[in-house]
Amino acid sequence: MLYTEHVSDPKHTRFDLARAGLQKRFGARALVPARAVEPRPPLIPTGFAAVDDMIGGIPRGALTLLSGHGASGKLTLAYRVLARAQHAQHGAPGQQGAVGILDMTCASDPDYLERCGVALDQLLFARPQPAQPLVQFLLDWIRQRKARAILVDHAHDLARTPANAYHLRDGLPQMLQALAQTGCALICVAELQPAWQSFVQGGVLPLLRQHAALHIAFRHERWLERDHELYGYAAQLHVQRNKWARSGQTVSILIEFSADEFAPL
Amino acid sequence: MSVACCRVPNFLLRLTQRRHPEWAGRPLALLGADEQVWSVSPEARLSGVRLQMDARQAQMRCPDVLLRPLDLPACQAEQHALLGALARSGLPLEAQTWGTAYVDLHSVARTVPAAQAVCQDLGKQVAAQLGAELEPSIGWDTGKFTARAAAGCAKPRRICLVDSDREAHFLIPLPITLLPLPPLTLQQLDWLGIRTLGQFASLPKMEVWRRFGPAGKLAQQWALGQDRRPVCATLKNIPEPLDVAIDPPTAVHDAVLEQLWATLQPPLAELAARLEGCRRLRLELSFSNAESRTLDCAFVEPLGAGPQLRARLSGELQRLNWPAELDRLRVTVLESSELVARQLSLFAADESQAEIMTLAQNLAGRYGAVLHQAQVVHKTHPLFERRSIFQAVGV
Repeated sequence: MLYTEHVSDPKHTRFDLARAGLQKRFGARALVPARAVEPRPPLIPTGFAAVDDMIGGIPRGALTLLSGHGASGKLTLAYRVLARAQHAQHGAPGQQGAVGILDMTCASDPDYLERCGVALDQLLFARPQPAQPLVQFLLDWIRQRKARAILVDHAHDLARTPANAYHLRDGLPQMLQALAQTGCALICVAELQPAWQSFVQGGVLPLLRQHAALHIAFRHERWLERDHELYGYAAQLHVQRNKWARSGQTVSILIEFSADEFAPL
Repeated sequence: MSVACCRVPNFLLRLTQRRHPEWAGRPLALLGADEQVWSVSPEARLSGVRLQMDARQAQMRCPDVLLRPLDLPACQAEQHALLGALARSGLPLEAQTWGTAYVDLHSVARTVPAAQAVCQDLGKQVAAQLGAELEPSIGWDTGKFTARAAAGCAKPRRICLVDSDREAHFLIPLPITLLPLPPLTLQQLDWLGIRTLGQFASLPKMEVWRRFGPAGKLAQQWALGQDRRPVCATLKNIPEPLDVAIDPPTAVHDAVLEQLWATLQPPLAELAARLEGCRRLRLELSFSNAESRTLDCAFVEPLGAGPQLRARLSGELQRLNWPAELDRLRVTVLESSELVARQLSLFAADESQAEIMTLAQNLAGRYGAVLHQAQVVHKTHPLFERRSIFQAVGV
């Protein structure tokens, strides 16, 4: 019944029937018409060659979720992305653009940001009170069209109060729409929480995971030691979801505390 | 009416740079007797140094800034020279601010060709008096506001004549920040998408009056090119001093400041309704041991009833050595003049920083001081919290 317009063409009918059969068996996304595939948005490189080879970078105009335990490299990668977002040629060549951090933990270290290559004069820290309407604030910020990338550190605080949790559930589709319209990259960094805490607090992570175009899970592999001194650590990145490419890949990176550049393993 | 506005942009700065050419091209801030910044070079402005900052704030924003005291007598002499050159024409003259003055041409020129000839004469006289480094630009129109806007649009040594026929056309695309409205009002208008004088002029008059009061109504008239203020001599009748209702004898600084602020509200509100601010204030303090002190406070720019004026009064009272408890306090608004618009510069601002400031101001209007910028001040400090400082922006 769906393909009545092609009934007269036996070739089309056979193709549609075959497609319907495969979709029924393997799911609706197993076969998608070419015109229905969303074009890949511009990407912001991460600065880690291995990661860029794997996924190309962080998509602009979409939500990216970086999750993992502490000291697994989430913030380092996010800071490097902010630095590259500032220098990405958006307007005039060589002109820097503004980026922002929704710093609800008030623990951002400008010195480390600078060492990651972020120009502090083009970076805004937002430190709202938890009781303020955070999602609305974020939405307004994105709609101002003056930020190339915004980092939310850390994402669980977006739903610390019941009102904010409600607004987050309600406002995420609007936020995704605003991101797509403005081309701003939203990067949410979230610590992994025990299952019982997610149950009690309603769980921000599942909600963000559902709406994220790219989800990378970070895992601390090992500390790097030289002459009984720690000089960095190795982290493993696992692409759990990627809207525009194959997911499930894994890559390892080395993060050295005093290094300017990071090398893949 | 027929008004010419003669304007020497960045008068204080260029005057200082003329005396010290080695400072040209460097970030420079000139400090007044009150240790506040009275003038800023474009290089320092790019680093965030603003008028009315104190020296420490300026140095925090721009560590390389040259902080030099302003040679006030020399500047006053040049200002008098400018006014003298204009006064030589024998026309009524009104000084607006440093390097800016209005001349009433009503008696000699009412048409564009006649005004052009008179303005050329005025420009030549001023240029000859002040020298090549202080080149004026002149604007002419039937009202003071449009004349000033025209002078702001004209390049140095150029004249911008706005005929009454194309007055509205001239004003329509200009930014609304040319109007000396309070920052909060400008922010509200920005939220409403009103960013040019043309957009503001096309708003319903009743709504503007209801929402922004008499000052808004007056500003809308100016935006329409209907500025009927006459050019009057700067020296006006000095009003009677106002007695501040303190509970004598007192030595409580905060209480005195509160009462002083309350006493100043009516005259400041009266000035604000005319889009004017206080330029000079006199405080007369009488103490219980029969001693008295007189403080004359002159401000860089005319100030309205805002936090800047309050902070300045508080500073003056704190700096003063009180010989005994205060018995009587009188305040006089000695001089007032038109409030200075926020954007009236020929120098292009740093666009990226301006974008950040606009964003911060827009969000601050709704959410308060939540946006900050960071600066690393002590790279080697063992505690990461001490390595950098955060400063609120947009407030």
